[in-house]
Amino acid sequence: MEFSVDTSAGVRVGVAILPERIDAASCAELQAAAAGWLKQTANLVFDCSGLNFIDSSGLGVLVSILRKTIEQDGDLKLACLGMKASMLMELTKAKRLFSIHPDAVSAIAAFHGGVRQ
Amino acid sequence: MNTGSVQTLIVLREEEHAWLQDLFRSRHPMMVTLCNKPFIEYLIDFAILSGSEALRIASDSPITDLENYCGNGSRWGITIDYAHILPEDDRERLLEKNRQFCSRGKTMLIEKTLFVAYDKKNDYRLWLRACPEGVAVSGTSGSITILGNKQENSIPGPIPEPSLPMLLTIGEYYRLADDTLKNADRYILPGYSSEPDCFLGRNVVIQKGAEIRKPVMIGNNVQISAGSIIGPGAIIGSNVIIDRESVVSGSILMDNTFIGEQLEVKGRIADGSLLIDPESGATLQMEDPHLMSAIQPGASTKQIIRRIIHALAALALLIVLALPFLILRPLLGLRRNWHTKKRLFPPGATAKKLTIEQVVIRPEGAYGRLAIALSIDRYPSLFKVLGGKLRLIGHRPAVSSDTSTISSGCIAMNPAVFGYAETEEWPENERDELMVDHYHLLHSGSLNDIGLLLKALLNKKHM
Repeated sequence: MEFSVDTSAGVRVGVAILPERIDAASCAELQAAAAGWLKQTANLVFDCSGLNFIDSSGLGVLVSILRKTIEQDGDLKLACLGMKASMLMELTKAKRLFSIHPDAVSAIAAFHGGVRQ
Repeated sequence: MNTGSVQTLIVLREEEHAWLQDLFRSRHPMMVTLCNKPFIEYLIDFAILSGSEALRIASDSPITDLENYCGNGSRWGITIDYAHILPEDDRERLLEKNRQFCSRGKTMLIEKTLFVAYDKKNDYRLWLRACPEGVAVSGTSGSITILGNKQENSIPGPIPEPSLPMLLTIGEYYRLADDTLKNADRYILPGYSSEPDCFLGRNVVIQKGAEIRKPVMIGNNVQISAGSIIGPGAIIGSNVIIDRESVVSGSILMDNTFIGEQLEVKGRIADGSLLIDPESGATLQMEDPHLMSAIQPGASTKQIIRRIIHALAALALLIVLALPFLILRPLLGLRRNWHTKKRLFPPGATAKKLTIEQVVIRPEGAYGRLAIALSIDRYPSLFKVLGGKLRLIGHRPAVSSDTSTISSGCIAMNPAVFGYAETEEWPENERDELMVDHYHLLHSGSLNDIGLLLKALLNKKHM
């Protein structure tokens, strides 16, 4: 998973590119990686352009990371959500929890001002 | 020609409605439900409203599930029979093959049509009487043609006409289902309805705290758990479980679907573990059974008895043929006359497949001929009958070709060690064999299967 820090919005925003699949087998890896990212910044953007499959345990990890960012006065925003992931997010009502953006640039820009959208 | 009677000929060609077949692979397109009623039943309704006394379904592929469902038509008070046509048969050939059926009187020929929009309050007998010979209704997705002369007596007043709504995409299917539910008074729909826009099937359990919002249709054997909200615009099929605090609105849940707890199904079609967005056509195959999954309907008592009898007969064959197998197998191996071929069944479909390993022995030499005569080539497959993966006798997939003509319609035919077609001398090609298999799958019982098995064992044609 690629991770970089962007400061174009005036705040440190960590941008991570999610893998193709987040399921029970791979969610521990994401959780461990997120723990490291959260030490650098609590403002995260997950680029989901490559994400093809996510199951309930994967969703659980995303919600867990979101909760941790909020606890640290940050936020987790999702970008480039594909049709399949979007359908699953709608089905599980997870779409209401996250702020979802069409691309990573607009997700980063949404951190400008530090207000959770 | 006798102009008094009216009959309907429904023509089904496998290549039609491929979009529906791709989505709902486990059933014939005509058995896909619209408002919990298979498409074929809407056509039967319309045939009856038009005054048809007999109905024939002519198909170029096996339609086992359709025949099982419709039977002889007695439940609708109409005579239904079935005919086989070839994919290459044109209209002229089709009518030639069904000449006797069509010669009884006026014939309504329904082609490429899944659904006829009718109004049950109208008398379509008048419409049919007034229709001249030729195409009476046509749409982008089918046509109704009248064969037989227009009757002489004139019909006073306006005549109601049926229509063929466009039905070529899953989006159009979704909108048609919604429209049918909203105009439920036009159609004959299943379920109990004590108030408008609300249809309930048998054995529906709605737990305390669940909410039902009209318009809504719920099938048979449905459980709706506490805190769930169903509707508006929800069509719930039969054998469906909706777990607690889930919301289903503007959606269609097909038969045998489980919806997990605290989910929200809005503007979607769910079929087992498949979630479909009708607008974009996007599909999502759920791999997480906690969210959505298919409910496997329990096997009927008859099927269980049949499976047990097949297993017992297979066990008897395994015991009787054990010694010949142990002697002949190594000898054939040494003579390089024991070849195995693995193939997937059913071919073509992406649904659940079964790997079948078939043994090929050439009828060369005394050992080869003896092995074939004793059906030693089938011996390894008999173990799969014990496990319930194969039938002892049924449809035997051809060893010779991977590009079989068997397709979706045959999915219902469980593959078997011995084929019904092997009981007969006459089948010359795979199509003939399918016809025999198809007939016996419909008409044979458990004990009859044993008789047919003996016939297949003794029939030397396949040797």
